[in-house]
Amino acid sequence: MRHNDPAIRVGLSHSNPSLGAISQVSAEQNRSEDDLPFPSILDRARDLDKHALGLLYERYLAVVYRFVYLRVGDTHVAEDLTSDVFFSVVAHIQQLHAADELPFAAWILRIARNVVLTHYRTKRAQPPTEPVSHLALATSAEAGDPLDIITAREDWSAVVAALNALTEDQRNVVLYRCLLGYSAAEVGRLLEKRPGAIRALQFRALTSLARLLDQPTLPGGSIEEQAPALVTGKRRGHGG
Amino acid sequence: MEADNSAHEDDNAQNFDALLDAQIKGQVQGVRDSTVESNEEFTPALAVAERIAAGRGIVPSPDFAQTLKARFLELAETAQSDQNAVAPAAPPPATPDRPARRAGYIQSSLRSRRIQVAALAATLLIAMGTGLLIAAMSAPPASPFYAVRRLEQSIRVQIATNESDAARLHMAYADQALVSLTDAAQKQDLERYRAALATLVDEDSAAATAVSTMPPGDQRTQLEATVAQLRAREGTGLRTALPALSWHDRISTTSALAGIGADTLSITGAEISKAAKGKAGQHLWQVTVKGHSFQPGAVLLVNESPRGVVVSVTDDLLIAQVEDGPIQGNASIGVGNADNTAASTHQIVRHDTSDGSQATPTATPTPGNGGNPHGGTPTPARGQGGGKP
Repeated sequence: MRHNDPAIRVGLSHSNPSLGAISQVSAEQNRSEDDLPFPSILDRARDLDKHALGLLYERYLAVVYRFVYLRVGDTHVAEDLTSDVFFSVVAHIQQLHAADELPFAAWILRIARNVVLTHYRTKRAQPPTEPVSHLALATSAEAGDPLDIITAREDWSAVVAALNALTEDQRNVVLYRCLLGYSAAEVGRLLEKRPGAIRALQFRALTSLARLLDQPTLPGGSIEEQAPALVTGKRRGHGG
Repeated sequence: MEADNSAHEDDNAQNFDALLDAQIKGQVQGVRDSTVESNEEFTPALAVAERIAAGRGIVPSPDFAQTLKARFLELAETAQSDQNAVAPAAPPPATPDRPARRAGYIQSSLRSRRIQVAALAATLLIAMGTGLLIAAMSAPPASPFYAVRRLEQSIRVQIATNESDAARLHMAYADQALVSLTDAAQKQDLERYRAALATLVDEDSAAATAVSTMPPGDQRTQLEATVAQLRAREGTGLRTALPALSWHDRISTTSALAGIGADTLSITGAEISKAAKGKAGQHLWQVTVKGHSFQPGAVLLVNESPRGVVVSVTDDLLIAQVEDGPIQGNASIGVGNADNTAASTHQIVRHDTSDGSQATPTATPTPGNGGNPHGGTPTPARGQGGGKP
């Protein structure tokens, strides 16, 4: 395993560890920093209350950014798309019927998924530009060994390309489960599937990913070339 | 046999999930040991899961997080003021007394007008269908439904209960246009950029007009400050967009910057005269452009493209030489600054041209007049009956 600590290797920081693994903070999930129950925060956010929206933003920025980043593999694009997600939250939160945190998470992550899909659809309609495979991750703290930095970038690039070769369902299960830290039962609720189906999907997806990442070159090469699979959600002939 | 395989797969998936759970909860060593003991085929998949889980260290940069938060909350605030502005007004007194009769008459006229506008909105709703109208309400600039969205915004302004609400609405729409414009510039979507810029110019101007018609007082002072803040954001957004634009769009954008009161490049006129002959026997034409805020490194623009060689630049004068033939009568002459602002004019005086005439072609406004550069349809300012604000 080449990855030990991406925060050091790639220059990313752990500035908000509470957002690291949601399932691990389940005890605090229903309490905000102001000790407001989550449903009350949602109610106030629906009235476009700035304080409540600020709390939701603080809680979900890293979650959304991480999810988007692992789908596009580029810092600037991830920032643009994360912005789109939060603007969409303002535009549509009044129509949100969620009463608690998990349905809210399902909603905001659904927006993030749609924003990413729209991005790839638009990108596919445009002439090809610079390939993304070699573009950088955030490198704000690039004081470390340059070789480590390059290795870390290539690592993430490979992971993103491999993820893009999975089906839409597999990709979502892997990201919700491994990246965002939700339990199989929670992922089931987020994606409206049975926990048994989630377990089967994650096993097949991670086995496929292991096989893909073990290959010297991924099918299709760059992340951009993997994008059609991401858009259509079609399987590309490996597991699942 | 198939059932056996399926049951085996289910068992595997369940065992794997238990190990993955333990790994996610940080019991890595336990997982490794049990993996080795129970089923080595899980090892690569668990390793991949750990590799993806390392992505939890990915966080957005603090600068981005802070900027986005400010924009996110600002958007929420404008959306809220937008809503408040269209909230129904308090009902008038049931029986107005005699001295208030005239005021009552005005209120009644306004109510009648609001009823007309509400009827128009209802007709629109019926004609288009609710679904279509909801889709149009979030249509981005330059999209097919954007005109409907602008119409809907115009109706909202019309039914606003007072000037301050109308001003807030105009500011909210300008803010939304600014967000679209910034995004369009980043994505080099020039069509959307132009539509958003036209809306921004119209709404900014309408907001300023609405505030200027309010009676002096705390509310007006407060709204003037809000307009100033909006313009500061607009200035930043427009200047940030400039490098991604064509010269044509830089000229429009510089014009918009001047319209919001920014101190920026402008041109008052240009002169063309025949200079000496060039090395190859060609005529050299000297172009003198007058204006202000010309910067070192500025280039001459002819028909919105760089041309010729700049021989001297001061703050208010740029002199360039053009070698390859005279500049046609209907040409535009412009200047592009090093900071990507640009302006042009058709106010050209010709001296000593080939036919010996001196002509001043029909004038086109120099950027700085704050006019609408793209002919977009503004939401009408209140009391102007749907005309340009």
